[in-house]
Amino acid sequence: MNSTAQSKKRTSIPDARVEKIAFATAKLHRILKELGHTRNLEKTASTMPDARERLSFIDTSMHEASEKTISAVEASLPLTNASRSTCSELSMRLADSRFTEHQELIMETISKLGEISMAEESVHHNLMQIIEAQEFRDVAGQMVNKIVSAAVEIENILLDILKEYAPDTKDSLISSDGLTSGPAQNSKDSVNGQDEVDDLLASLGL
Amino acid sequence: MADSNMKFLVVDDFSTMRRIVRNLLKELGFTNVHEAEDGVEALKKLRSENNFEFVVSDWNMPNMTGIELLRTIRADDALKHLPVLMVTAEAKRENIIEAAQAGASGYVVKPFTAATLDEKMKKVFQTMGK
Repeated sequence: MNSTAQSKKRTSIPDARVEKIAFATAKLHRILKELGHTRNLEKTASTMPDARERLSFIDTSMHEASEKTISAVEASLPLTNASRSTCSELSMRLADSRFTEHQELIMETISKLGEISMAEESVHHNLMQIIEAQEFRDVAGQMVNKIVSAAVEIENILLDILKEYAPDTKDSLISSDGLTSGPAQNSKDSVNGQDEVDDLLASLGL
Repeated sequence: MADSNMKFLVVDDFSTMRRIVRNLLKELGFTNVHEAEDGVEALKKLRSENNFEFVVSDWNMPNMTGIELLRTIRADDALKHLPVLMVTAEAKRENIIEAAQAGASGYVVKPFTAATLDEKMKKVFQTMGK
């Protein structure tokens, strides 16, 4: 209800802000036409797929990094838990033992086992903190996705303006598929992994 | 205290997030944890297996959101008794109010710790009388 009331208001009594935006847009259009700035605009538009690709790369890297981190933590948690129970089991057995000799050594061992057990508890606590910290992946991933869609939107707006003011594609700096294709594949002049780096170095005689 | 074999369903579209929640639940002693990646898959599992005892759900998901899942659970005679804990990045007051009105058993805002999860779950168990 509120929105219909507002749109009515907009058509009958133009909002000063809307008038300003319309004025600025008209001015921008005129300037672009007069000064032949479409070429600059093309440059800006052509950077968009690249920006999108980089953001997607960030998203993928974050995902892989946190998956690896969680796997390493999952593998470590049982180890520290096992060490802790081994420590407490051994110290109980030592305390119950009836050795008459080496009493001091036994007491020291029991106390050290206690220290190791406490250290393992800290390790366990730290591992849980590492897991909790991986939540950044969720919130940051959502943000990156939002920015990617914003980039796509800006790209489309720029494309529309370009179509209107620079319809001659022969004059265009951007290839037609450059703007419409999704996140691009690895470009031919970059390597994929350390193996390819090593191969390349080897081919160069290093 | 709650049964450590209690059957959980963790609903989140981010696989990393499901792994995190699974690990935090394990830390709290719950190892019977199952996963679904959106509300649709969650409902399918809840209805076909019919022995889940606790649902932990994200809000923002494709196909069916967490709040839609919650409303569907509360409207289903076979499922409406299930505790549903919302775990979400939606920290707006209106979201929290909406979830409470839809019948959420608890609401945890991301990022959260095992301690927070523990505290909220204990509260849910208390009101359930377990």
